[in-house]
Amino acid sequence: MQLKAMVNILIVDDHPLVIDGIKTMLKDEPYVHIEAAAKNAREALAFLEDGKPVDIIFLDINLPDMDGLRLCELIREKNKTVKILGLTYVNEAGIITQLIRKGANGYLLKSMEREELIEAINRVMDGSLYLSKAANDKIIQQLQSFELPQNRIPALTRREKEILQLLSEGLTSHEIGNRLFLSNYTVDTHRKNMLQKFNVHNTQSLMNVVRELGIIA
Amino acid sequence: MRLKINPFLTVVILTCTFSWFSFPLSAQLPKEQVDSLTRELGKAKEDTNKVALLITLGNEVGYADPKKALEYGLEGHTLSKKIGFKHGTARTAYLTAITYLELNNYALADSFLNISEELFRQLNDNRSLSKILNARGNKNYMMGNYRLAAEFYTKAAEGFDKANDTATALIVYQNVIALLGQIKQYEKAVQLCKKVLPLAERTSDSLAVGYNLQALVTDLVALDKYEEAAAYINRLLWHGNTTGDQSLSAEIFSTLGTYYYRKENYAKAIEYFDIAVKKAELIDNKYQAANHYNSIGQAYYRTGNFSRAKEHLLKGMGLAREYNNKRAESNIALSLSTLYDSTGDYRNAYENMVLHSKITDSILSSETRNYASELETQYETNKKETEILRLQQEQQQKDFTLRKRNTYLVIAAGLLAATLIILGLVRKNYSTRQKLSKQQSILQEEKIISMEKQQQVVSLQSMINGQETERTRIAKDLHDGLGGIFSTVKMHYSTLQQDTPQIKNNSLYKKTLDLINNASDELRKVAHNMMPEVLMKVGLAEALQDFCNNISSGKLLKITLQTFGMEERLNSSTEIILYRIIQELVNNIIKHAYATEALIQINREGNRLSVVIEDNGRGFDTKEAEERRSMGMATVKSRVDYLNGRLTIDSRKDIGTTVMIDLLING
Repeated sequence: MQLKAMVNILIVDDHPLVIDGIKTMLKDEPYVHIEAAAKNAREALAFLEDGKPVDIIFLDINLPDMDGLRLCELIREKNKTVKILGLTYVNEAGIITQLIRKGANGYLLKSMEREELIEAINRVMDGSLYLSKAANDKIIQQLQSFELPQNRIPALTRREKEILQLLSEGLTSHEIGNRLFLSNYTVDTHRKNMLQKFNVHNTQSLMNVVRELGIIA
Repeated sequence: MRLKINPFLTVVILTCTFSWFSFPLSAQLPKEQVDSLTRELGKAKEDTNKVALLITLGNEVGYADPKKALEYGLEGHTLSKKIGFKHGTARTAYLTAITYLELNNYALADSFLNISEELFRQLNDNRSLSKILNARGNKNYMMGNYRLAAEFYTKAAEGFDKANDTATALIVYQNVIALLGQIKQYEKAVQLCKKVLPLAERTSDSLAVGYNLQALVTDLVALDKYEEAAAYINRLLWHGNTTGDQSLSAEIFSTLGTYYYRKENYAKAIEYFDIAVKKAELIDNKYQAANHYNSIGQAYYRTGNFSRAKEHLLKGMGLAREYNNKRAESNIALSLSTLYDSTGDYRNAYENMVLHSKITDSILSSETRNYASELETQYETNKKETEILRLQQEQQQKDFTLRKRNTYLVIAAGLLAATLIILGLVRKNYSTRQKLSKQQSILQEEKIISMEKQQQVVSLQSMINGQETERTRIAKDLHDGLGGIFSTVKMHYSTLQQDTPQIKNNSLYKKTLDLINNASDELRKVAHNMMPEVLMKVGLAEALQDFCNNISSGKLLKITLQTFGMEERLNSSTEIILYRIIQELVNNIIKHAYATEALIQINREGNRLSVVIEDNGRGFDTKEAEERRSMGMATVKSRVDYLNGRLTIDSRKDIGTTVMIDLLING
């Protein structure tokens, strides 16, 4: 694949070996120029302050002086156009989604191969989002277990259902406790959990909501 | 035979609670005054005065009705928070804590102590902070953690000394004396008593002096130092007669009775035990009265007045049963057995002996369950104590048998048939006793095993913190160090293809590339298990979501996570510990429950946090599980304890298991 214009890159990583590895992979790409490498967040921000041209930032999320997620957010606040590619060794959905939320354009695992790196550079320069294949799989896995918002009536635990039933029969916490062999304290915790779940402030409103939703008759 | 007496060498521990505004050892308010305060409460406005009133009332009713005191404490706490009365919030938290302590709810007591400690620290109220230390000492004393109790008492005493508050420091000293008595360090207790006595006298607080003298004489009697004790007897008697604190007075007369009993002056002993009974009944302390009746019974026995002895022992037995005073019941059964034996009523003697052994067993085993001490000295003392108990019992068995043989000869001359029956009884008796003594030694072994287990839990607790710090460090090292190197190796290696395209066809090259990939994946997994990055960087809810997704993608178990009020992060060590707890519980579900679905639910509202984990698996018998608790469950339990939380397991066969953890989080 041919790169159209000169691409200037800033690598932010405290690991000299990794910087070296990226340089090696990109040595035969005439359009890619590694502008600089920063060992920490401070150096990276100072470099960006100088106003030197940078198109892509490779950003390690583990830095000695600042959390990489926070740094990503900071850079994005100051500069809306620069492309940011997260670069890490971990492959966890929670980290990937956070990074994208904080304004990154893509996510690369450090264990990538050369072709992947070149593709990532091309894709983000085209304006699309790039996730390395393994990261992509993780995100899909997360999406699969995610339910659409309209389906999200909070689930009730078994105990909560029982307590709800007895509440609807007009029993007090104390009576419910006796019936189910639970302490008052435990019954009350379940009841408070349900109030919070359905975002109501007293038992009466709770009963109204669950009847409306058809959870109990 | 020698009658074994259990002198009631009790020394009470004290909380610095009795009143907030006056000297802590001051006696109770009269009932009419409490009633008028209660009426005032009904009319009070929602302001700081009402909080003060609630605190006073809470402290007053705390003597007799801790549950009521708890209500006052909690009401005052809520009110103080509502009107932004920081002093009140702190004091009511303290009142609530010590009341929970009285009700033996140690976890909640701890939570409230934490809350009030934090506030008093902010208010720079060092005197109250020392009171909290004393309360922590009491908590550990009650739980049998004597070494920790001693540490807290020492710190509390230092605090009061620094503030030149001798009056309150005395309470702490008195507690240390009680502690020393409890671990049978009578010599040291006596030494300390003698040091504290002049201090108490200087504050001219007669109650403090009374408590001190009672402890001093009790400890001296325990050491058989009657002559030394004699020097204090008159003063002790004076305090017993004049103090307004009836419970102290009852203890004093019981101590005096024991002193004379030991000196074999039974008439005097009876006189004083009688007063102790009357005083105990006056303040409705039937629990303690049972013990005093036993003492009187024993004293009458020694004077040869068997019928009076029997009358008092039976009265005591009735009270002990009615008020569930197991220890008294057991002691009285032993006294009765001896008494019946002397009157030739062997059937009753035997039955009471069996009763005594049975209760002793149950006390021992319930103590075993409650045992939470890490103290080695205590372990040693207990071992000796049970050894003595066993020796005494053996001695009794010998005595019993000898006596009976003599009697049998007499009876056999007249009534051969009767002898045969009795012989049969004796054989049965003897073999039962043998069995009992075997049971005793088995119990002893169990006790040791249980103590070892407890010790494991304690050390586990202290391990948790270090373990997690270490795990975080190792995970970071793996990522940054080895991970970086692996990544770079792969980067260079894949560039090699670019430089020398034909190398792609080399099978060794391909194999090596695969191996590098495998190693790198493996490393990532290990580091992830050590400490998930998302837990550190993003938070508990997201980390659990990842965890659930990973398990659900395996298709065997579908886990749903729902969280409420978890937008803000908890402090990171709480997050890590909760994550580990949930991880372990889910692992248990996977390993044992044969469930297809599970639900994890977290609710946070203010500082209340509750975690519910529920599965639809085959369930188990919770009692059985308690007994054969797996190491996994034990670490869950100790982690929950570490967070001062409450763990409730509720499992039904073929329906599933619900585990609930609730706790108060700080800040």
